[in-house]
Amino acid sequence: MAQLLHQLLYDLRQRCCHLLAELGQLSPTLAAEAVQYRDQMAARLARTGTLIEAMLADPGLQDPLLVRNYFHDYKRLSEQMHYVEAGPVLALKHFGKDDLAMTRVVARVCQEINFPYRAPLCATLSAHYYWALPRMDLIFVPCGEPFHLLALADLYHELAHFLLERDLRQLVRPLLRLIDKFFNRMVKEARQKGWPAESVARFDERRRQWKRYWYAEFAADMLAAYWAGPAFGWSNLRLCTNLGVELFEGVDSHPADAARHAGVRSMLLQTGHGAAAAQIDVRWAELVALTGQQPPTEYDLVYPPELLDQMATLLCSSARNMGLAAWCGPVAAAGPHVTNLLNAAWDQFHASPDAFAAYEHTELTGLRQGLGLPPG
Amino acid sequence: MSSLSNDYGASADFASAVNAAVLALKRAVSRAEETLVGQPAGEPPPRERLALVLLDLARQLSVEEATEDVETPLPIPEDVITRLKAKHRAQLGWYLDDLRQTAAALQGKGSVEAHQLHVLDDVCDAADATASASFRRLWRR
Repeated sequence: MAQLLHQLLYDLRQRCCHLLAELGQLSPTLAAEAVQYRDQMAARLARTGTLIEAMLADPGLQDPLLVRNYFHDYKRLSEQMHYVEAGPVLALKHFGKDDLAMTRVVARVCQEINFPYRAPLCATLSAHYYWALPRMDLIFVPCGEPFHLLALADLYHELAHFLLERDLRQLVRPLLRLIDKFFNRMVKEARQKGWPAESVARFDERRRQWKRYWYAEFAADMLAAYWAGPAFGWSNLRLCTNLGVELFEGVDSHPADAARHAGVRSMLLQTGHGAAAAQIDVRWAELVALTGQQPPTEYDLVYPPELLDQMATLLCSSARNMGLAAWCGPVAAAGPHVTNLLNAAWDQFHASPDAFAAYEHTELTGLRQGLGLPPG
Repeated sequence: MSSLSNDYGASADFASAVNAAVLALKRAVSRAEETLVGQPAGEPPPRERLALVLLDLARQLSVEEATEDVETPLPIPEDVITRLKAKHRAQLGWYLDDLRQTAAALQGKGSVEAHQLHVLDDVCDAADATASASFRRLWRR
């Protein structure tokens, strides 16, 4: 039984060595941020290599009582290897000027919002919009994003996912407790009102959906709105207009777009952006009218407005306690301030969408200059 | 995709931590029974952590409405609970007894019996399957 594992550990060791060699052979002209990131990933790979060697040398691998547990460990190591290959090594091998530009934008954003961790590296390789690998300190963005402003607020949503993966005690546990408390009350009230058993049972499935993935997406949206202000609300509206299908139906990993919009609004109200939230709502209503869609029955039971408001209140308080900086309006800053820039960009876009391209180009040129980058 | 990444992170961390604790326990069983008897000094802390995981699991599996989250060292991913509930649905009462008795054995000074190691391996299997499934969702779409 242990022969398979033993053999595949040699394969894993070989792959680990190869990835380390790949990192070592990267261009000597790599930017400082990428060099630092490379060194971190090389250290991680070296630690993984040590674990592989230890497992290969462990006589326990032949013990029938232990081999299944070694199998589990092997799978985690194998997954780690795939992660490094598909994330950091891919990003570093293709790291160019656009990636450096986005990396510096993200770093500046991290300073502005008091991000409590090292700023991630950014790679402009994504074919799946914005997404993050918090375990690898990496954010992927589409290749066109270094040249536009209106979607950049989605960076804040991705940065929020880093906190949600790392801050269990301060962020995740309180959110999960809130969700449990809410649905406990719903079940209790439903029973007291004599709802049919099947209707009461549906709360269990909803609770599971919320606690599995949805809480993270709502929380990431709300933290993004906390940090980026109305720019994130507008960016979210744009994304739903461009890529949305069923506004009132969620999928396994993501809640309904309409509910996410409501969550963003709740946070914008918490941070004093009521007027902007109202303006976004007007445009949102236009989107809904264009689609001709309506909320299905029980929509408010799947996405209770009260729960969204409670989440926003809790997150706002938690964020303040963690020292995270909310955007409350233009900030006086020496040098470029990305959050100011993004909110001003949306104001300019609304005022003059036909002239926005020239404005955007000018602002991006100034931003690049301020970040020590050549013009794009 | 980022929430899938978060999900994998949580499930992989849980699977690794539980597996490491069970492996340490089994090594102690293999080496010398005496090390399991007596005070926890010399016993790896994972023994108590495992006990808390089992008790948290029993708590979450046993009520129709979830009680408030108790601060356990390892938050249990929802899918692990779903898997174990589905697997032991037909004899859930007995399974809950197994979890509690195994937890008691871990928290006590006596040795851990073979059938209790089986209970722990069952949790490891569910945790591993959850992490693997989460990984596939993230990378193979």
